[in-house]
Formats: sequence, structure tokens, C-alpha cells
Amino acid sequence: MSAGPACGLHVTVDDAARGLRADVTVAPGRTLAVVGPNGAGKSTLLSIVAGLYVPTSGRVALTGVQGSTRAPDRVLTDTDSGLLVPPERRGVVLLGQRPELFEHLSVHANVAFGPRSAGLRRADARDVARRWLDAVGAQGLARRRARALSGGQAQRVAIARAFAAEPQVVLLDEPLAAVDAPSVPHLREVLHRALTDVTAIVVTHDVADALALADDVVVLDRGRVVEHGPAVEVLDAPRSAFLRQLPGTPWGPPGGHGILGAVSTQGPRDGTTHTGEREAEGAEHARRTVEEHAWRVAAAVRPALAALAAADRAADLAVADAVEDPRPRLLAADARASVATPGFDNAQMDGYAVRAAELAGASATAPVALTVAEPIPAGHVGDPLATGTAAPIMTGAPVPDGADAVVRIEDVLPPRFGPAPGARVSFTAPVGAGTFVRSEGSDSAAGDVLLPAGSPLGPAQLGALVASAVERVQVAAAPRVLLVSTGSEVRAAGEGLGPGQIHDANGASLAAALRAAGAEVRARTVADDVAAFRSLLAEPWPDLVVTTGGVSAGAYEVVRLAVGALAAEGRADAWLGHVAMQPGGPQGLATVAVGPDGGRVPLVAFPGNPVSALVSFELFLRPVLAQATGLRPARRGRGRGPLADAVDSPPAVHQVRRGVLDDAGRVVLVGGPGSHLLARYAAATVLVHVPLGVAHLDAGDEVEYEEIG
Amino acid sequence: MRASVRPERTVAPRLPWWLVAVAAVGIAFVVAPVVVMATRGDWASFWSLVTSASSLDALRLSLFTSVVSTAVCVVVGVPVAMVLARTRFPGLSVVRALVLLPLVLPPVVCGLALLYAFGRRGPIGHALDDAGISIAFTTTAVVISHVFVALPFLVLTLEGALKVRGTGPELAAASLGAGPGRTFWLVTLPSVAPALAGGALLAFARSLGEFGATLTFAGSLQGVTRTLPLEIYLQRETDPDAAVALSMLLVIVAVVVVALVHTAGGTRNFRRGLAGSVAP
Repeated sequence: MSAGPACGLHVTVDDAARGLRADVTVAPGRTLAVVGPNGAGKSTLLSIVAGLYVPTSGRVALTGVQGSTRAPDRVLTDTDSGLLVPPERRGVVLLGQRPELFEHLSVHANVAFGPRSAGLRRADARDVARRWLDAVGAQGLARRRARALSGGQAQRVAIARAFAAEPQVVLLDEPLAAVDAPSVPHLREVLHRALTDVTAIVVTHDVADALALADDVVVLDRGRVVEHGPAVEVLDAPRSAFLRQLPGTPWGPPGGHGILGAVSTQGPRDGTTHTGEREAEGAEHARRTVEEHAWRVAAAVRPALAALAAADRAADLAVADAVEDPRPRLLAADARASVATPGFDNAQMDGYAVRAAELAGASATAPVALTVAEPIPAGHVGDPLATGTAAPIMTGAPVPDGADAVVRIEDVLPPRFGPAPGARVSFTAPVGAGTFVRSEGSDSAAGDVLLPAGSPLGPAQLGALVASAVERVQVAAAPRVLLVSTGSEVRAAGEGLGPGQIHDANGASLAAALRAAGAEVRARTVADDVAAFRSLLAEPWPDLVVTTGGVSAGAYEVVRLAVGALAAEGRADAWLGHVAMQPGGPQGLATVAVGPDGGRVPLVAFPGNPVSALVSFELFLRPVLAQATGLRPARRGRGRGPLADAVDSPPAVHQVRRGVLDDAGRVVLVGGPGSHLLARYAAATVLVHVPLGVAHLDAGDEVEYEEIG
Repeated sequence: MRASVRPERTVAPRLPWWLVAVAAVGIAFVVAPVVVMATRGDWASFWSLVTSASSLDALRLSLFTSVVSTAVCVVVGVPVAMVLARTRFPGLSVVRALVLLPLVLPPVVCGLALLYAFGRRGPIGHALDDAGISIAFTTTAVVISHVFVALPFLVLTLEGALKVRGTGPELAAASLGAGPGRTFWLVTLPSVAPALAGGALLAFARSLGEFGATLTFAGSLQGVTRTLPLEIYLQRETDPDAAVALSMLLVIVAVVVVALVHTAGGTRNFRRGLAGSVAP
């Protein structure tokens, strides 16, 4: 949405006063999230970029101005030369926690302030302001006085005002921290869209913000960059102490929201009316992004799955059995080599085993001739090599005593085997000791850690174990998943159908998907009956509960009702709401008490439509399970390809379509956007992502896809 | 209270009884003298007393000089308040103390200081005299003495408002590309407009009541430097009834001014008018 091509940003700071020493780069058009504990220097960094704080030493520059990487940097702050471009001429807009609207002006005049300051005529500024008010969904507020707005409305207007100034760089300092909770998801969505192709830094302590808004993440701690990388990677496998403590704690990110998100066990239509228009507006848009829900599911499920590798759950497994019955498995303890591999020095090439010292003077003009000794085939131990001889040796055969190098057959005159023992062959070049010799123990020595705990147990690993004579390993237990298909109309596969009844397609496809991912599954169907649902939780068997159906706004939503009842008794914490995706909007995430002891296990609730349930599994559960079970590849292969046909998508949701790749590498969609066409899904080989904010793509536009078949 | 037209349903925090008692004494202390004076006045001849030539001259001069000095206070005081509230330099607190000095100085001392600076033999007065401008004992001198004593009221009010307001909106304006001038006219000034109006009214009131500095520096020439307070003081010697009548006139003007300061409606309209003029 920005004017012209974006430029990048490069900041180096070494400030003694505030203890900040960092080097931060934002690529053109990308959004960098800066996260970290209080006092880490996040806001100082923004002040320096905005020109509101001058560090003792540092430089701020816009890189690749005019969209050309060869264009010289536009330096904004440079303490070496004493340069400081004043805030109003930096092209950098700072939006803080507080909207700081001009309260004496109308909303419209606030948004038009930037364009007017840039010299736009009144009418043009009005058009820009109107466009941005539309973009943030605040067109109805244009004529209101700024001081008459609620907190959420004011921040929305502040967002419009910041972007309307068409800055080169946008700085957001905890933009959603002071906004009332019901407005947060919608504002996050607004920001997400506005930040497309805008170079920006967003400071936040909420991982959900970072996931929803940022392409890259920097973790600052006590003034130092402790972690840096693409957002998904950093947040998925955090290394820094700050990030790792967040998923581990039951109520992680500060701000009162737990891993599950704001606790809500009410229907999506509840809570929309009791406190008036503002709340209604928030609730209507109270959707999570796909990224946020995926992160929260992972954060809630991962600790439960991590327990599977603990000593009390890990199992002893014969390697031979694993070879017979390959399935996703994860080593619970280090596997140590019983013997060294290779067990003896052996030839890496077909050629002649020689003493390297004897060839030291060899050259093309003065070749060295050696007598041919007895040939050594693989599996045969030859005699020690006498001086002045060279033994023909085959790949894998033990190198005879006395020899310390192998010369490839093609480097020998004549370059073929044939000369009988006693004949002479010539060498035209010297050879280093150890050349083409695989020495004993060079793969692994006896007692070495062959595979560390946490390794998957796939074909390569099984081969390595057999090679090192490892017979038994400790493997993590398979996660026990209680899969509950809800609905009075659902009948198990194979049962006869009464009127209005259907077979449990969800149970079948999800059970298969879970087992393929390495889980042990108990599939159950329950009618729309809260008591029956709760009775399934009586036995403390599962590590994870997965449900399908019963989470949307219908009259008999059994998962919603049952989890709500449990929450009321203090036996569950739950978030049941909407994720901005299609198919699969209604989703849930909870921890529920199981068994008499009431130990909590995570519950992931998927919608009831078969396609929705399977897409939800792919997006939210498969990646987490893969990490815990050793399923490989842990992530589906991803690619980009041009669309064969134009496609429309509601911009407010992340649409996941099913498709196939044609011979030309184009993405052909199969089936509609709807969620009941499981037969069409079965024909698909890729899931196609149409991201949030995109309303229309033309044929030929590139889309991202995941390979599912 | 039960009989009030619009019942107030919110419960105010309760005060200790002795606080209310002392407050009653304080209020009575302020109100009683004025009320007693009003009962002593010769109300029958009030109109003729306040419309005598000397009285009308004094009233006209008082209103004129107060309006002009208030205008000067606004023009000079806004920059002073901005500098005090928004800049940092060594000695800032000393400068602030000096600017606010007339608040604590006896007015006569103010007049003396002005006399030594602007009088014929003072350095500034001498220079002006050489240029053919004579200030002493003119209406200009009245305005100068009024500005001298009234300026701190405006500066103090405005500086407080600027500090309470914070620099948030100004930083936002700069970040949106507005230079210092544009930010001042479109953001800072409108946002403190109510405080500016309040400060200006306080300065006006202080001007209206100015006596000591004016008498010392400007003298007491009818129609030229003799403002209403001076006229009252003079009349007290000869015609106490006229003095009381003029005092009541001053009380009425003062009450109107105080009412204006405390009527939020007036300032809100002022602010709205200002906002309308800058909206794109």
C-alpha cells in the first residue's frame, strides 16, 4: 500500500547511556519484530531510528532508496559526522501504544495531517485520508472528534494516520498493548494488511503480534541481539532464554492472556451486545490469524508431547523390529556405537595399495615402477605389503599392513587391472599418506554418540545403527490421541445408515493422518450429548484430545457445551473462537482434566466438516506431532507456482484451496472453496495458500503451495 | 437536596466535618467584606456617581489598558511559556524564577524598577528619549506596568498546561512530517487553547486591578494614566460614596471576568472556533 518502491533500513548503535549495542537490518518491504523483556532497549532502538534520541555512537540509514540497491544510502543519523536529520524530514513515522491523536481536530483532519504536511492540496489530502480510513475500517468515524473515540477506535485512526503519511519506514511501539482486548484481533489484522510491502519495525512483547505482523524477528536482551531470523523459524524453535520461557509457562506472554489466548467458552455471538457498539465491532472481528493459532496450538501441545521421551514413558526397542515395522519414531536417549565403523582401514576406490613414501619422487617424466602383489578383493584380508610392491585392491577391501594409500586404477600405467603378480606397473605422481583410505573408526568410534536423543528413526538412522552393531535403542512413546467425532448423525464406518445419518469420514481421515504421523489413536464417536462426551475423558489414557465438530455457533455444539461445563467446574481452560481462515473458521484450543486425578491434557477442537478438519490438521497439528514423533519430513515441501486460473477469496480470511500441479508447473485448483468436498480433496496433491488481505488473484499470479501427495 | 431539579445520583467522596467547617469560614471571610461594602453604598446616586466625567475616563482607560496589556501578554507570554516548557538549557530554572518575579514583588517595587529602567534617567528610557519617544506618565507607561505584573499569570498557566499536555502530540506531528512552525500553529497552540484563554483572563483581571506599579511608574493623570483603582483611591479622600460606587463597579467587572474563566462553555467554543479554522 506504500507509494513507490520500499527502501531498507540499517541501524548500528553503541550507546553507553542506555546499554544498547546492536546492529539491526530491515530488508526493503519487510517487517521486523523486536521482542524482548522490559528494559532490553527496544524502545530506545525506535527512538534512535525516529531521531528522538541520539546515541553516543551510531548510524541510521535508509538503504537502496529509489528501489535500486545501488543508490547511495540516505543517512539519517551519523554520530561520526554529527549528522542528525530532524524527525519531520526522516520519512519515518512512529506509532506508539497511545494513539496521540490531535484531540482538537476531527478524525478526518487527523488522518489528512500527514499528507497536508507533505504539501498535498486539500482535496488530494482528503482522498488519501478517506482511502486509509476505509482501509482500517474507520470510514464511519471520519466526522467524529478525535477525543470522542474509544481506545480501540482511536488506535485504529492512529494507524490510518501513520500510514497515510506514506512513510519510508514505519515504527510501531507496542501498537496493540493499550487496546481493549476485544479490539485486538481486528486491529492486528488491519496492521497485518497495512504492513504489506512496507519496511517496518514493530516492538512487541506479545508473540502473537510478532507472528501475525512480522517477517523477521530479533530478540533483544539487555541491549544485545540474542536471536535473529525469520519469524516462523525463530518462534518455532526459539534458542534465547527469553523466548523459551514463554511457551513453557502455563500463562506465558505478559498481558494476562495464556497460551490458549483470551479465555472464552461462550458462543461467538455471545458478548456482542451487552456493552454496546464498540464491543460488538470487536467481537465481530475477533479472529485469530492462522499463524497465531498455529503458534498457540504448538505451545499448548508441545509440553505434553515432550513428556513422551521422559524415562517413564520411553520404551526399549529392538533395531531389527524397527526395520521390520518402520513408522515415525524418535530416539529418547543417545544411541552409542557398539563397535567402530569402519571396523578396519579399507580402500575407498579400486586401485593399488601402496606405501606413499615410495612414490615421493614420481612424476610424468620420471615414473616409479612397482611390482604387482597378490590382489585383495573385498572381504579378504591380504598379506602385508612388501617393499617395492603394490597390491591391486577393490573398494571396501581391507588395506594390507604396510600400505598407507590407495592410487586409483585410472592413475596407474597401465590404467586397468590385468598385469599378473610379479609384473610391473608405473606411477606418474606422488600420493599423500591416507589418500583413498577409509581409516578404522573414521565414521564413528566405539562408544561414540551415534545418534543423539531426539533424532528421528528413519532409514538412514536405522542403517547407521545396524552398521555400528547397535541392537536396542530407547524410543519415545507414541503419543496417545483420543479422537472424538461428534454429532448425533455420525455413524462409524461400515455401520448401516438411518435417515439423516452419515458415515464418520472425519474419524477415518484424521485417524489415518494421526497414525501416519506416529500417534496411537483411539477413535470414538459421540452423539450431541455432553455426558457422553465427558465420559470419554474418564480414563487418564490420552496425551492429547482431538475433536471434530461441535465448536461452531449451532444449537447443539457438544464440544463447546462440554468444555464450557468443565471450565465452569475448574476442570478446563479453553479458547473457542474463530480463526481467519477458510475452510475451518471455528476452532478451539483447551486443556481439559482427564481421569480421576484430573491431570490436564491439551484438547484441540477442529470444525466438523471433513475438509476443514483435515486442513486444520495439516496447518495446526501435523507440524507439532512431527517434532514429537520423528515424522519426516517435519514440514511439507513448499513451493511457489503460477495460478492456472483466476481466483477470488474473501480478503478477511486466509484461504486454503486444494489443487494439483499441471505439467507446466501451474497450480490448478480442484473443488471449490467449500468445506464438504472431501472427494475433491482426495484428488489434490497440493494445498494452495491465498493469504489474508488478498481478494483476487489473476491467472499467472504466483501462489504458495504445500505438497500433500 | 431532595428538592433539586436534577437529582445527582453519583455519590461524591465524603469529607471530614472540620474541613467543611474551616472552608465555610474561609468563604465567609472572602465574601463578607464585599457584601458589607455593598450595603454601605449610596445606591440611590450610584448611576450619577459612576457616570461622572472622571469616573467614565477612569473606566474607559482601565478597560482599554487592560485589553491592550492582555493582548501584549498573549503575544509575549506564549513564546515565553513555550521556551520554559519545551526547551532545556542550563539556568532554565533561574530564568523561570526571574520571569515569575513580579508575582511575589510588591507592586510598588515593580513600579520603581520600571521607573529606573524606562524613566527619563533610566538606560532604556534615556535611549528612547533620544529617539524622541517619551514613555513616563503616558498611557503606554500604564500598559507597560500592567504587562509587567500580569505576564507571569499567563506564563504560569500556559506553562503548566503545556507540561501536563506532554510532547506526545507534538512528536506525533513531527513524525508525520510537520515542521516546528506547522506543529506549533496546528497542534501545540490549539491543544492548549483553553489554558491560553484562562491565562489571558487571569492576566486581564490582574491588569484591571493594578494599582501600585501604575501609580509609581505612570502617575495619576486623569484620562491618561488614572485607571479605575487609582480613581477609587483618589475619590476615597474626598467622596467616600463615589469610591464605594466605583468599587462596586470594579466588583461587577471582576465577577464577570471570573465567571468567564470558570465557564467551560466559553473556552470550548473558543477551541472549536480555532479547530474549525485549521481543519483541512
